[in-house]
Amino acid sequence: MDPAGPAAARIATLWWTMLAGSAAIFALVMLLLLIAYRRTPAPHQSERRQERFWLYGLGLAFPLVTLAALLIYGLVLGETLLPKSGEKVVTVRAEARQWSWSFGYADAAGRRTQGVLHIPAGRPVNVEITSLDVVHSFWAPRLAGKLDAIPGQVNVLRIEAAAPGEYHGVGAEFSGPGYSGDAFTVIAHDAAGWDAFLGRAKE
Amino acid sequence: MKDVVRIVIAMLVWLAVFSALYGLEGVGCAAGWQHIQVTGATLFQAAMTLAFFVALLILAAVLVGLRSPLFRSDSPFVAHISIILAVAALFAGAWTLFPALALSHCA
Amino acid sequence: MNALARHRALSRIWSSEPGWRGVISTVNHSDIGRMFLLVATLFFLIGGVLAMLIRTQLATPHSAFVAPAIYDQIFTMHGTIMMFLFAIPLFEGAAVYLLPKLLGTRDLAYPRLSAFGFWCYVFGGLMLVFAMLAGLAPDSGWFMYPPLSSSAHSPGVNADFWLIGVTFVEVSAIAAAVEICVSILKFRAPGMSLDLMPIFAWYALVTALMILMGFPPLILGSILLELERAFGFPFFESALGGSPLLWQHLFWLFGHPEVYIIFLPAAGVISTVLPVMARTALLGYRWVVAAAVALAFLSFGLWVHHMFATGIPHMGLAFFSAASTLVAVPTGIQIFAWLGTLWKGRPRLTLPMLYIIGFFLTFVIGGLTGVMVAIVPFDWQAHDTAFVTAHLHYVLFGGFVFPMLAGLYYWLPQITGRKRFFRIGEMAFWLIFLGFNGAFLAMHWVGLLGQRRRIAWYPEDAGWTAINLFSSISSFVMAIGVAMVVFDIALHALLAIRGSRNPWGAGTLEWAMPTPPAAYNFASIPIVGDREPLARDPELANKIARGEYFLGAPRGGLRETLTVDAASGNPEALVIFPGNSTLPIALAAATGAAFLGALIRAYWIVPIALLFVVGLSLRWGWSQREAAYPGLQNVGRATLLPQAIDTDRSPGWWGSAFLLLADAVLYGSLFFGYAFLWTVGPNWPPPQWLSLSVLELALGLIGAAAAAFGLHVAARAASRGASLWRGLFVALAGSGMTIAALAMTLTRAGQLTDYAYGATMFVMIAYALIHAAIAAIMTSSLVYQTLRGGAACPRTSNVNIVRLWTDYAAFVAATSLIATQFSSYLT
Repeated sequence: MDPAGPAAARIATLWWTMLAGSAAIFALVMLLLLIAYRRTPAPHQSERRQERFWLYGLGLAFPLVTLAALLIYGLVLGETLLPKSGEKVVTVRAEARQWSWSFGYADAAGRRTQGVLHIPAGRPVNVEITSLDVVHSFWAPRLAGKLDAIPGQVNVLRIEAAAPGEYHGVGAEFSGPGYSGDAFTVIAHDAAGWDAFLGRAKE
Repeated sequence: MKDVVRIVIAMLVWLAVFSALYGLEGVGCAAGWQHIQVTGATLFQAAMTLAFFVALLILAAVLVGLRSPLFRSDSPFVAHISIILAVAALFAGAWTLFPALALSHCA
Repeated sequence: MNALARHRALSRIWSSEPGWRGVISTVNHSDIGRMFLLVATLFFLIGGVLAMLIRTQLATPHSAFVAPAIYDQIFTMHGTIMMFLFAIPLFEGAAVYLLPKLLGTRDLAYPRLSAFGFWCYVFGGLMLVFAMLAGLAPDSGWFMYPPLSSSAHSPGVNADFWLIGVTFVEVSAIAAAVEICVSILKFRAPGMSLDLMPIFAWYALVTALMILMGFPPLILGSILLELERAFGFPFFESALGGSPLLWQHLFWLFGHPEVYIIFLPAAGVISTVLPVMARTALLGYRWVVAAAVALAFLSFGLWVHHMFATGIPHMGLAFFSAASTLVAVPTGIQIFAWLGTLWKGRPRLTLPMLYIIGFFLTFVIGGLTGVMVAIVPFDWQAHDTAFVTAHLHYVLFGGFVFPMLAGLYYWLPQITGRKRFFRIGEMAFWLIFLGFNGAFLAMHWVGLLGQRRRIAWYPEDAGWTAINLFSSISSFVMAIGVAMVVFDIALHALLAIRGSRNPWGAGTLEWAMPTPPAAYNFASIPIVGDREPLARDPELANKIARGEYFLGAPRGGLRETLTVDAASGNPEALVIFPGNSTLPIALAAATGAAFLGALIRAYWIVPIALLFVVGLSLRWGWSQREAAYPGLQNVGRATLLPQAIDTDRSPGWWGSAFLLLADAVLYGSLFFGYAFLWTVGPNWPPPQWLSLSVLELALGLIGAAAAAFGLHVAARAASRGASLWRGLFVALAGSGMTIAALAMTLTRAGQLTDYAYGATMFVMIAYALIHAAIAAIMTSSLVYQTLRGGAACPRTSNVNIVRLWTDYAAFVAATSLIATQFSSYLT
């Protein structure tokens, strides 16, 4: 939870919002439970009134309102994280196998890197993910959420690094005995560095 | 046994239309409907929107049916529960399927 | 006859045989229930030991405790055991033990089926335990995703143990579910209409229906994957037109309802125990029932939320995200109904209540984190991290184990007739509660820091060491607590003193009998006019023992009970149960041999074992107790009722109907798979289609129609007492034609199975062929019964049962022939 890109940052905000809301709801339920043991019950309350308070009010209305707000927040956020096309988008390709990652670059045909993905910082990157054997998952936690690498299928994940640097990435779907050590590195270059990387690739 | 059917029918219909819309989405994307234009919208949008309203109509029909004297249970208990669940199913239809109206297609 | 003489007479009729023979031949629900509970607890302890091994491994970075290859087996078996061999069987055991007592009847609908289900469970569980001890346990995770679990990447026999062992255990779950459905709907005390049923029965009914709808997709998935592993049918192989995602869909189509199949019985326990502890009645009974039904169905619309990261279009995800948030509403209704009940009454702080409070704390946290992971973007981060592990343990341990422990301590006096003497349970609660929260609260945190699930080691510099160590130590504290519970129960069973009959002051019928309960449950079957009959009439237990109600006069050594109309609870018929029998264990062993033959690839065993299965099944059907007394029967209180097997729809008919419901879900899943590969599968269309054969199609359709029509005629003849011959002849000829047509199509499809399309065609036709064969065998048995003659043989109820199966077989034959023969035209 130390975001270094817009996708990861927005998801982190979502998390802190949900944590605060959850803590409040949890406290409410515990308070109601505690009071049940501390109070003397009002002797002649009608069953109907109690049903209205507990079931219609707390059971139905309360969660519906909260959940509606949260769901819409989540869906709108999900839309913004989708890999929409745009001018500045860089496309790279990630191929998983047991247990290593190999990367290719649309801007530098034929260039392949093993275990290290190079991207430009400050620009949106579409990662086309696939697998050569079993199901894997591409996950660079500080940059974005994860997306599965499935044989016979190409999934596209949008990532972006705000600043140049090295970011840790892992295979995040159980893939057999080598799973624990299945990792890769994402290197985000500044504009000059990215040109150099591509240029070097062209040589 | 008919009373058991009255209790489960509404949510069962919800499950059916929910699966149908999810299936339609898969079929639409596989067939490339998002690229076909029909009067200002894509065929995909039109199909999903139409399916959404048909689904709600079916669920509303179940609710009306369970309230009508023709299908209503003789047991007040079963009648009450079946109507609660029919309202719930209609609501669940609107809640779970509204993304059909709004969200990105096939991405 | 006085109460004591009646007790002796009934005990003689209903008792199991003494000693070890009694264990293998008992069909009594109290015995089977206790055996289920005991074996499930043993599996819980085995799964718990595996969990401790996992925590030992993760306590330190770069742990060398076990190698990854072993570690993978450990966590796979931990998940598999806890899900399939502990949680579901524990529910089955509780339901089998409690339901007849709560419902005011003497046994479940099919006593021998309960025994059969139990032995299937034991044999299937033994297969998996054997695999584990031999170091051959499955190691691809409890979710078994192909291609990792396919033969290319898991060449050993490990994955086969999972597929075959688990399917065998699921057969047992389906058997129990059919039994529970029919028992709740038909086997109740007279007067107990649907709105007077104990709330636990509602939860059990909903859960059993969910098992019937939820398990078949996984059974189908397991069959397909095993076909792929054994014979190379490429259902999940993308290069050959299959799709690995098909497995994930089938698995989670089962897997998500499974979570609620586990939670709902526990909620049923809370809805039963909590009001008693609050000395009041449950608030909003109708709303709680509606919430349970809604929860059950909504849970079938959630499965894709386990697949948010598989690249499904966002709109598809949004449907499931919305459904996943909505499912919190019926859960919330139940939580607040329980809180409202506590406010309404005067709650006591007893040991069961302590565990319920533990449930509230943990389950609410689990529910809230559940809503979090239902939100798609957050799930993209949290998916497959320790955060999800923590969430699911809060839901499953908090939502199942805590309530079940509450139930255990609540019903313990009923089971043993003793009073708790030592105060070990309270101490155990605090150890379990604190240990659990320590272990799993920490796990949320380390998950958010990026620790993945299922890793065997992590580097020192990850910064997770202290959290993991804390989590491991806490989990050992919890394990000590669990051990103390086991110790407490053992002490209780051996040493505790006799207690009073209804120590909690509860109002339901299971407390209106002597404790420990007699084999026959109720000396006479009470009339119920209230949701808490015992609270309304404190003298009820004595009146029952004095035989004042139905069937108070034991006769002829027969095990008798009543069925009622499902909705109103009006008495409908007299049922005579079969006695002790070793047939269930023999049938389970034969079924197990068939599974084992497939497992060790000794395929010659399979047909031999299946012959035994068919033979024993026919014997099972024929050894149904014939009516000792013809005509209407006096069941006491001046009431005359027919025998159940003389009615149009006997318990056997209802059981067949529920079994066919599960069967139809399996068939529907197969169609789903076909449509899925068609639309989503890469590398479709196939290189070669199955061509249309008008001969096969016409022969099959006419045969199917003839079979259904023939039994229709036979059933009408049987109800008028006329000769069955004409109808049976037409039906047999029709079944023969269908079988011939399907066999021809099957041979042609068999040549195409190296591609996913052809393999799918093959399975569809084979499915129809099996059902046509079942219908033919059943019709033949009617022919045999007619030949053997007798006054009213075969009975109308038997003809109706065969008719139901034949109608289904005809439907399946027609639909699968159409779906396969025309497939080349559908493009």
